[in-house]
Amino acid sequence: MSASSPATLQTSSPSGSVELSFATPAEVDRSCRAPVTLLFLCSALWLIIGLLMAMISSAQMHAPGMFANAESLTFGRMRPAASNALIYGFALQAGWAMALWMIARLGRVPLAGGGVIILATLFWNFGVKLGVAGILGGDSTGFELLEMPRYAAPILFLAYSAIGVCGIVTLHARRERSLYFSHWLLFAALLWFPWIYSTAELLLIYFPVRGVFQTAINLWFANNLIELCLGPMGLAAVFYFIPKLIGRPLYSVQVAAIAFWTLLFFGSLGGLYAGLPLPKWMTTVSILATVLLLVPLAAMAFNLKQTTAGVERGLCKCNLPLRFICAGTVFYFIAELLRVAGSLRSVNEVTRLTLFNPGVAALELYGFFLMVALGAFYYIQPRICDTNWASEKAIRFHFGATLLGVVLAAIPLLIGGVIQGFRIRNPSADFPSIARGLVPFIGLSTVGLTILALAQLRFLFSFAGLLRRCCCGGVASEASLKSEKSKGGQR
Amino acid sequence: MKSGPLLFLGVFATLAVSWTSMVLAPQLQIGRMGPKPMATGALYPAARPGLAEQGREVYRQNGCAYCH
Repeated sequence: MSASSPATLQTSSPSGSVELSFATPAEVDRSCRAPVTLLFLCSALWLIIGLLMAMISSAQMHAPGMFANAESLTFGRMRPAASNALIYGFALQAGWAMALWMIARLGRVPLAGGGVIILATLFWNFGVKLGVAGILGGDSTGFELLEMPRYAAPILFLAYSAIGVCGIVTLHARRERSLYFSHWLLFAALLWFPWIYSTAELLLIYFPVRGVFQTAINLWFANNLIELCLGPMGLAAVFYFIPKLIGRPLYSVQVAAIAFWTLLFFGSLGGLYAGLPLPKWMTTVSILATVLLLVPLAAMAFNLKQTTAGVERGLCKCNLPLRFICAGTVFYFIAELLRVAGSLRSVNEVTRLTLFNPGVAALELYGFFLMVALGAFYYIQPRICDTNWASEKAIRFHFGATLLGVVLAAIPLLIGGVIQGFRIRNPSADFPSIARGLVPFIGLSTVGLTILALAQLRFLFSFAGLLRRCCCGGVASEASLKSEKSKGGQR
Repeated sequence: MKSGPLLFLGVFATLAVSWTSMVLAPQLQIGRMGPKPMATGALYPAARPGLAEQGREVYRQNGCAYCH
């Protein structure tokens, strides 16, 4: 991967067409510099805003009087604003930043349409701002993960279309013609998002379908957004960085293919759970599909295990991006197994409308996606900026704090949810006492979210420092990176 | 796998199964049901009167459904 080939060696074939050989990693990184940095920066800012709102809404669950006088800051508006800011503001943008860079690097071709991506990113962020402000202002649509008002949706769709098209054009223009596992995952994610988003928006908000079917579409959309848009983008990063950073190829492409097609097929059918007022075949198909997700999970776990077999344990200690990615992978498997378990009828009867599901969602978003995105970011950003991180200790601190935050934010909700479920099933249960009994669990979760928010704030300072060195300090060559500290505050 | 168009067809077909079975088929099955008159002559489900309709909008906009 680090071998440099001639930059734009042009050879003309007898037919007169010009063949371009592979772009060097440095060229690819330079083409990604502005668009990917902007996407990462915007996603980092939305991460902080979203985490702060999530922290407040979590606190409001055990301190309901908090901000009760301010209409915009009540729980019912803060909670959807937080989840929309985190998914649309942070997760999707971080995912596309990773996706665009990986497509360009794997295809050994410069990123296409950098200027278009920058404009589209600004447009997307304007849409998210409008949407989140709309939710806080009282225009929430009431549909899970689709709470942004109808005037924000077309902006988001158009902005994404531009980004998605640039990604597909880069993929099509690839000079390294092989398509890797990460390619398939990213392609599926880029194709599926506009499909599910437009379907859900049209059928729920613009031309609403009848009655109970709205629930089905809402749950279908929410499941596909998390499992088949964010999931594949994160998994593409996992299956790109783990083999790359340990210096081994992926163990088996055939097993990866099995994982890919089963993940797509079963993952897209899930989302509905038992007990919904829908035709029974719909919920049964959904439950079956979710349980059969064990097939792609097993395939991916086997592939990773064989790829990393025999690698020294200490590698994770030295290589910090790898540490983030490995932690994220572990959280992915835990969260997915919990999701599979939670879909079984017998388990679902207990966990259905409890804290368990927000706990699984927290594990997926913070444990898996945030960790993987951070690992990818710590690898990608210095390379596209051609500047190094100032302090390795800050990155280690960030990892530790994020890990602690994730564990505290998600695990108490999972345990509390199961306890809540068992208590509620008791017919002589006193509901207020059950709710009071949940306060310690929700409180721990709030503490976890606070730690996460503070850790990401600290991280934003490191990021800002890197950007300042990148923009003001000029481009530092590879050789001069070692003497960077001696240059001090030179501008 | 080297062929982009083949990947596209495969992904499209796989995801179309989900869209068809979870969105299109139910829409054809239950999506076009309308209010029907009952034995008493009244329609079911009946539309909400004005104040209840406003209440529903307040419920939706303020996120009451997250707890209730």
